[in-house]
Order: sequence, then structure tokens, then C-alpha cells
Amino acid sequence: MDFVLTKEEELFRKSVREFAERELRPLEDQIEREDRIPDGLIPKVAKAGLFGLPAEKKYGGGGGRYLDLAMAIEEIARVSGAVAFFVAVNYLPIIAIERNGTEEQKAKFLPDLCTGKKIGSFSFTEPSTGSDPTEIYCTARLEGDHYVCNGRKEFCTNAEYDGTIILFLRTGEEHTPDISAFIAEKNVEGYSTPPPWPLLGLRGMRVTNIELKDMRIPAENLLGGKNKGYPVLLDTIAVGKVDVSGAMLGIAQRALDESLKYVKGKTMRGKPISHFQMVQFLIAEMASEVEAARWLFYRSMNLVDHGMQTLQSQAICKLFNAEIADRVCQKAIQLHGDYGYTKEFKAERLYRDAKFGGIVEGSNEVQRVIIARDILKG
Amino acid sequence: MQTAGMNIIVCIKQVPDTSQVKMDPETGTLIREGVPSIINPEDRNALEEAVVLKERYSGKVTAIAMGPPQAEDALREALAMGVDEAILLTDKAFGGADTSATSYTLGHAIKKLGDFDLILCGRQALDGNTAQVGPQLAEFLELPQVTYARKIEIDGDRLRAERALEDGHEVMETKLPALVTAIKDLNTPRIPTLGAIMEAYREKEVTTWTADDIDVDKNKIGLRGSPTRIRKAYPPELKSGQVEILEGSLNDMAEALLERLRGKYLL
Repeated sequence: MDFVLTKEEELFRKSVREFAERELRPLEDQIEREDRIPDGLIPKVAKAGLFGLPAEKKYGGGGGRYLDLAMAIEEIARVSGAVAFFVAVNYLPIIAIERNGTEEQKAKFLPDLCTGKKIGSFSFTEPSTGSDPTEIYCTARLEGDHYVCNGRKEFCTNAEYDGTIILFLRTGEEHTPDISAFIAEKNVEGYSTPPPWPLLGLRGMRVTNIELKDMRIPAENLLGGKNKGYPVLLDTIAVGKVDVSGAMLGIAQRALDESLKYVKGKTMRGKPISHFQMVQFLIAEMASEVEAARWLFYRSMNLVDHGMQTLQSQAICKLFNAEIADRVCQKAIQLHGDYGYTKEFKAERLYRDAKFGGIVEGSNEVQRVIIARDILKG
Repeated sequence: MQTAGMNIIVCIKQVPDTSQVKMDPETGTLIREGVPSIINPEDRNALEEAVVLKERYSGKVTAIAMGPPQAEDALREALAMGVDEAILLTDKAFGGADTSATSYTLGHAIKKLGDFDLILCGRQALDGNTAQVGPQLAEFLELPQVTYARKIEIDGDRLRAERALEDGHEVMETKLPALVTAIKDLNTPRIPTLGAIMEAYREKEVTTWTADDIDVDKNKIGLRGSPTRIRKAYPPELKSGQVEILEGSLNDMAEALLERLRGKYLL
């Protein structure tokens, strides 16, 4: 067992940190204020090679590992949670296609996704469910060599950007798990997105519903086989879920960074408040929690690299990191006192951003169900 | 310029990230323990310029570093930035070198490499701040030099550079081969991608040379070859002064300030 990063891994981590500090840090307040990713940032993320890290080089990817992706998402989230999710979501179609697609599908769709020419999305959730395939009502009906798709999808990140989306649609009888995954182009005829949902946090991340009205998808874009959508979903999420864990880790680390800066600078009775034991206790707890979250996350990504991940292992990581981020950010606000409740300090934003982790890609409660069922089934 | 494109040599140094270094008040030395090492910032500007010139005119970039074995990390990063070959000069005999012994050693390593068109160095190293190695190296190799370069243009076998001065700049032109020292205004160093980092570690080589590999006089290298002796290093003493806060209207405060400056004969 080796918990030390190699020189190569350290240099990559340092490089992403430098990218985040150089390119994202000057924009983080603008992203928060304008609630959008500024023009010009996406090409920079693409040029830095951050869209296709673990994908194979022959598809335009970086030829790296999921551990590389883990460090990248963590470092980006340390500066901007919104940009981290923007990048992380892009990986869901990449993962889905690379693991379930035909050679033709990989060659056709992966290069543009891996190089940021097309922005990826992944849509399962509908008004009635976010995880149960029997409750999917959007339909895909085969007509000649195309599927005709109808219905409404909800809460899809990056859905309004041009690019490629994985849509989970009903191809079998209602109330059965017979759904299929499709690779589709966004913003074509029959595909539309209403304005984004106003969100509590992660301003800049664009989450919209999707209206499908007789949208046509070529039959060859069926991913993983007819009525085999649910396994594609589970397989993709088992890998993709850890991206959320990475973003939560980055947010928690930032909350710790901001708190350290604050407690060393803020004085009371003539000395920095870091001299007070109550403050030290909170800092020690936060540092311990962030450290635990980091290594659980790296371990989870390492499992993916070895093809050993399970729904349970990834659910444990996601649950833990979401709750740690929430807790650490809450402590950051406490340490900042009144200032922590103002928008003058980052703690307030981080606390709102961290809340997303316990909701997205299966809430904390769903993760508990997954973990408990898996453990108890033996 | 050689017909096969530009042959560029970049001298780099691995330094402690001084933004994270503290000084031991007892000994006056830097506390390096646990402090990450980085490529000297202005050496990264030199590397970037070399890679840009190679991309424009084709050719080859060789990076040289003198230092302990762990300086290989700096050279790997240089390789990830696009450098083609990397030479590490490492030997206990090189240890303790001042700028004179360093430029002498680098000079001999460069002589061993053979023909080149351009040598690029950072202006000065973060840990020493002498800005001497570049100019000394140029003297040793009998090359024309341009220091403090903030812009470089190549035109055939001539180099034109803008040299930053305190209150402006001057444009200098010289024939190649030449030596140029870079400042941070020269460019923005690229950040290596994952693919480039993997290539730097898995497909490229760092060649190690010891004192025996280059034609040097052992009395002119390392501590023995260094005329400089540091008697004492200490952080500057902080002098606390009196603070006076002026009050009143803007005009009153301006008037009071002028009066005090005149009183001290500063106006």
C-alpha cells in the first residue's frame, strides 16, 4: 500500500493548481456575481487538457488515470465549485461512451468531448424520479432508422450548452426498468431548455430542464443496447459519482484555507484568534476531516483505475465527502463569526456550494440505502 | 542560425519556494525542511521563450541544471514544458559553488554540448538574487549578452531584444550566438498538460554529468573554486516608527502633510 504521490502525480497536481490560481481565481467573484461561466474560460480549460484526462489518447483524451481526474477536480473546486461541476459533468458522457459504446460511437463522439469542442451532459432525472428506472416517462419510439423522443427531463447540468448528451428514455413498457441510453446532440430540433433554475449555491453552474418534442435521434446512437439503459446508468454513476466527492473535497479544503487565513489575521485582545484553544480545536477537526476525505476519495478513484469500484464503495465516498464538506464549511462560518454570515468572506459561498453534494447524483439518504442494502444482503 | 532550426540551451536552477521559506534567527540560514522546491521563476520564462522559439523556427531545446540529485524534478518539469533534452550536473564536488564556480561549470558543460545559437537564463535566482551567473557565463563563453530581456525577436542570424530599465527600455541587437537573461515580463510560462507530464517522466531522459564528465579544473568548481565567502546572513531588522494620523478636511490634511514634508526637507 503506497499513500505517497509519485513525482509525476505531484507535478500534475501542482500544474492544475497553478492553472486554477492563474485562470480561475481572478474570475471566481465574477462567476458568482453573473451566475455564468465567462466566455473564453472553456477554451482555456480545454487547452489545459482538463476535459479528457482519463480517456484514451486515441480518442483525444489524456491517457491518464481516474486518480489524475480526482486531483484535477479537487484543485479546480478549491477555487470554483461551479467550474469543477462544469468540468466533472462533462466526464459523465465520456465515461458512459468509453465504457459502453461501440468502437464507432467512441470514435465519433469522444474526441470532441475530450477536447472541449462539445460540452457534455447526462440526463436521467425526471419530475417523478432521480434514481428509479421504473419511474422514467420520457419515451423513445423507433420510426425507421430514428428514435422519436418526447417528454420532460429535469435538473440537467450543462444542458443548455451545445454539445453531446446522454438521455435515458423509455423504450419498453411503462413501470418496468426497460429504459435505454441514447447519445444525442443538444439544441437540435425538438430539444429545448427553459431558463436555468435559480440555485442556492454553485452560481455559474447552469442547471435546466429539457423539453423533448418529437426530437429525432439516429437509431445507431443507442448506447449499450435496447432496454439496457439502467446498467449503463449504474455503471457510469459508479465511476462518475466520485467526481462529486472530488468537488466536495476541494470545497472543504478551500473552507479550511479561508479559515486559516482568517484566524491568523483576526485579532482579539491583542493576539490572533488562532491562539485560542477553541479556535484551534475547530481547525484541527476541519483539517482531520479534509485529510480523511482526501484519502477516501483517492482510494475510490484508485479502485476505478483498477476496475474494482462497486456501487457501495463509491456511495461510501460520496456520502462521506458530501457530509464532510457540509460540516467543514459550517465550521468555517462559525470561525468567521459575524463576518462568516456576510458575502464579504468566502465561507458563506462555500457553505451554499457544499450543500449540493448531499443532493446531487443520489442524495445522502439514497447513498445510505445503497450502502446498507449492499452490506446487509450477505 | 543553423539550417536545422534553432539550437537553444536554457540554464535553470531548482530553488526553494521562498514564499514558503522562513529564516532561522539563530543561524541566519534558510529553513528548507518541508519547503517545496520549484524551478526558479525567471528560469521558467527562459524555458517558455526557448520553447516558443523552437515552435516558431523548429530546432532543439536543451535544459541544463546544476544541483543535487533532486534537481532532476526541475528538469522533468522543463521536459514537460517542451524541452527536448535535459542535463543534470550533479556531483558532490560541485557543492557550495558561488556564481563564479557555477558559471565556470555550466560553461564547460555547454562547451561539451557543442554548437548552439542561443543561451537563455533567468535574470536571477530567487534564493540568491545575484543576477551574476548569466553575465558571467556569457563572459566565459565570450558571447554577446542581453540582460533583463522583456521581448526577443530573431531575424536570421541576428537577435533583437528589448532590455528593461528602471524607467523605460532599450532595444539591443546582436549577432547569434548570444546569451539572454529573461525577466518575468518576457512571457507567461506554459503550464504542462497531463500528457506532457507523462511523456516527460516516461519517454524522455535526464542525462547526468559529474565533474569527470566535463573538462573542468577541480580547483575551480564547488566550494573550493568559489572566492565568495558568506560571513553572516540575517534578516533585516524591522524598525518601528511613529505613526501620526492627520485629521480634518482634505485640504487641511494635505496642507499638514506638505508642511511635515517640507520640515524634513523632502520637498
